[in-house]
Amino acid sequence: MTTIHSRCRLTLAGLCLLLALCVQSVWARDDIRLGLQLEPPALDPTVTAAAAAGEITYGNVLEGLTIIDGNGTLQPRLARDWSLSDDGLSYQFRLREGVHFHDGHPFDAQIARLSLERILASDSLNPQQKWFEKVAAIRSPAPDRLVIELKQPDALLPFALALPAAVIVHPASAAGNATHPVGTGPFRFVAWDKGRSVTLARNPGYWGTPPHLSRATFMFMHTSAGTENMLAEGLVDGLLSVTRVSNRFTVRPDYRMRLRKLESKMILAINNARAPFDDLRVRRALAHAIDRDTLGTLYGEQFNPEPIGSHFPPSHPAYVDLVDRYPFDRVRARALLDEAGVAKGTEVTLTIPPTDYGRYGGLMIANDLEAIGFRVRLEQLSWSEWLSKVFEQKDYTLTLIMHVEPMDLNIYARDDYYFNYANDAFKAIWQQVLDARDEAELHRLLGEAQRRITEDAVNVFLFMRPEQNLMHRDIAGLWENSPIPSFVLEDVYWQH
Amino acid sequence: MIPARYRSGLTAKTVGITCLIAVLVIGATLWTSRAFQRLDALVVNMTNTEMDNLMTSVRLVQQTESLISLGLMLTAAETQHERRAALIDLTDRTAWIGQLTTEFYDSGADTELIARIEHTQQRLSDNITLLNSLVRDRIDGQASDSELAHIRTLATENRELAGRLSALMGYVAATMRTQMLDQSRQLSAEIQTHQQRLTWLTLLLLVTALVSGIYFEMTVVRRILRFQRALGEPDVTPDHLRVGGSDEISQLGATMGRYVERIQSQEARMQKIHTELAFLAEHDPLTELANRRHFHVAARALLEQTTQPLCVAIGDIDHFKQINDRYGHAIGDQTLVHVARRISAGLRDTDILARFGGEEFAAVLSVRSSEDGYRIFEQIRQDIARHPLTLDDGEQIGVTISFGLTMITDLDARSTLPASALPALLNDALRQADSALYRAKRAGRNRVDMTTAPPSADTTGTAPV
Repeated sequence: MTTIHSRCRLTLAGLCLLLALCVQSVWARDDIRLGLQLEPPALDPTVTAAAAAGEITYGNVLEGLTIIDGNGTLQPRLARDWSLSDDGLSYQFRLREGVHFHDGHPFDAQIARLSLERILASDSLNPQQKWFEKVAAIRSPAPDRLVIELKQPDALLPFALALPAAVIVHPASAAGNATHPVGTGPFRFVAWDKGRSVTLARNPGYWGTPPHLSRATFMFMHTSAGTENMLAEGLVDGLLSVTRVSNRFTVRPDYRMRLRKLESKMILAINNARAPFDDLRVRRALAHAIDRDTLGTLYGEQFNPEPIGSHFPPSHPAYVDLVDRYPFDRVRARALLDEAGVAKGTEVTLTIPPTDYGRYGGLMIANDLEAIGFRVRLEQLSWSEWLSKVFEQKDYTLTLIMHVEPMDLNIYARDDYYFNYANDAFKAIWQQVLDARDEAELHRLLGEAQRRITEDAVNVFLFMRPEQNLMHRDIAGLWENSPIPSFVLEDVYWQH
Repeated sequence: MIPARYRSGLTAKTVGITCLIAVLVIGATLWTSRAFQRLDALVVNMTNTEMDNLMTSVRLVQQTESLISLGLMLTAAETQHERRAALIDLTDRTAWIGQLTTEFYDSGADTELIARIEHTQQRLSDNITLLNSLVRDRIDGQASDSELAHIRTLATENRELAGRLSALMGYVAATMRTQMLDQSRQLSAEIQTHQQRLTWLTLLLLVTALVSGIYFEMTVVRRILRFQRALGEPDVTPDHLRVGGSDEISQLGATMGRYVERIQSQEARMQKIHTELAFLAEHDPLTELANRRHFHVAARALLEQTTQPLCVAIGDIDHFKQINDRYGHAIGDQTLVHVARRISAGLRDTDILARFGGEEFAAVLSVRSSEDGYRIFEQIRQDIARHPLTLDDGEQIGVTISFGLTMITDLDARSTLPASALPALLNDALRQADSALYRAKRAGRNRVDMTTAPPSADTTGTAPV
């Protein structure tokens, strides 16, 4: 009897297990579809300033020596650990062994050296090259040893190596990474359906813990109507940045808003070299003209974006509150314009990127500009057009744009940056920032830098984007506390 | 080298049928699996491609319909803000429609329809750009009368183009719906076909299983039952165990037949030995006449069965000792055999004759009367006296015999006797016959004497000799 009973129990348990497996195989999803507003011109974050490239590939396809993890902490990635010499001029990294690129090429110190030297090259297109200016030389004394020699001490180098622009690429595949990125990450690139989506699939030979998801699709949501349609029909599992329509969908039982820890700064960027905005008074007039309170309702009444007075996040300890430096005052703005000789009815072109904030924020900015006497022409560009015309050729007057990179105040020290703000005073300050001996001095100098660009009214600093993603309720494991604009999927899974 | 049983016979048949059923089952499983794969592909195509196409076309209809009202908003804008807001929405909507139509083209729409849609979209886009520019001027108060008239024309045209695009998208949606219905019908037809095929396949499997069962019943079970019956019969005939064919069962039958034959031959031999031993136990090996023990058994049986008078005789060869002494025991034995044959020849087969010991013989036989009995033995006596024993060398030895007889005649009294009294009656008769023999010997031998007093069952005593 006992035998029969135990056999019965065994059979029953087997059936239950089978049923559970069947149910699991039927219900447990292992794919994800994420909506991005901007389609990057290239998928290689080492050659494009478009944050979307990193948003898709960072930590998924491409990995750096270090990484900012889901808690916002700096962690080793392709490096096992690192040490700094006593004089602060030499970093030694111990690298992981047995790591391979998706095309089978092995990773070692020589590959890491070549990849980092690519950033430093004079003809490099790397958008974050500035972060590596203190690097004097890179050596690979052993396959698992990488040494970075510095001209001056740089405590932020390990952080810089965690940026999307510092991911390690292989010389054999680097040239093709723009359209077919090949990295060492937990996902490999599958396809880029231009204009629509990028698909990634689980890398079966990943050196680390294999991800839960087998497939991920990043879908490009170029239009607000399309975004609304796709969300309404549940064709996307998450929208990776807040939009005007997001809030409407939180009433649905399957979506919810998820907080993120990004530092996206919305600015009305000004071409400082183009008249009449090469005049400080005109730029200051713009700063007075924009009604931040109204603009703050861009994403809906329930969002209260934090206003900023400079290109710096309020969460940073070195933040200086300059919000009220240019209070909303149309009379004063008009007076400044008159003072600068800008006649009423002067036509100005406001270039807007193909984003939700671009379209609807652009409308609000246009109203404000119109209110102080400008005749506004809205120029709607595709993202690649914007990158080419505005960012590279600097052929624009005003543009509404979001800067998502963390700690990117250094862009104001660049000669060739699209603001055309070539200011020696700021460069001098920034050099002091780089040379700061301690944290107090660093913070003081950063405050000075903030004040400098605000005084120069380089751009109209608007607000920090409310960092909330609209995600399916059952999705868990997104790295929400990382300040890097990225969507690392290695821990993402479906709860049900 | 494949063993013979795997090439023919029952094993080959079993393997063959098992393989046939296995092939059928595997074939059916594979076929069903492929059918499911195909159905799955159809369902996936329906849910992914067709459903997507249908949804896309429905979205297109909705979006193009909204273009009419957005166009009207652009036309009616009284401030630059209203104009820009309408333009932003229009641009956004047309971009989305553009993306959706591209998806629709990818799904393989016909080129003429694509061309017509693209043409309408382009005209609409141009119309919006122009309208936006004219409305902007109108709001700024810079529009001429002809431009205002142009705005009206463009607005009408815009409505018409948006309406036309909406109609085209409606056609697309209807086409998609029809395609999906066709797919659905195809799926339904496929499912039906597969159902029918599955039914036939199941039937085929059943028939195969049934035929296999019947085949085994006929070729295996029945033949085994025949063995069982043949072996169960009291008289097993080896021929019944031989069944036709050349498989393991016929080989088993042949083996069993040989085994039964061997058992039966052994049994016959045992029986013969038994008969010989039984004969030896009841007969005198020299004369082959019954011995004294068997004589008593047979005589008692005769006493119980017969209703006629019985003559009980004891004979003794005269001067047998002298023959033995003179010619030796071998001739003595020949004399005994000779006399035994002569006495047997004078009696019927049913009469009981035994060598009682030495040269003495006893007989019991039913007769009609005492005279009849006397006559029989007198004839025997004379026959023996007339026929001397002829030796191998031609010498003749004269032999005579004396008989003492008695009669058991009281048949009524005998029939009332209990079975246990019969031996006493026989013994008494033998004693009386012996007395008569004694008298015959005394009277000169070679004669027959008969007592007159009937034997009695009351008399107790031992055998006369």
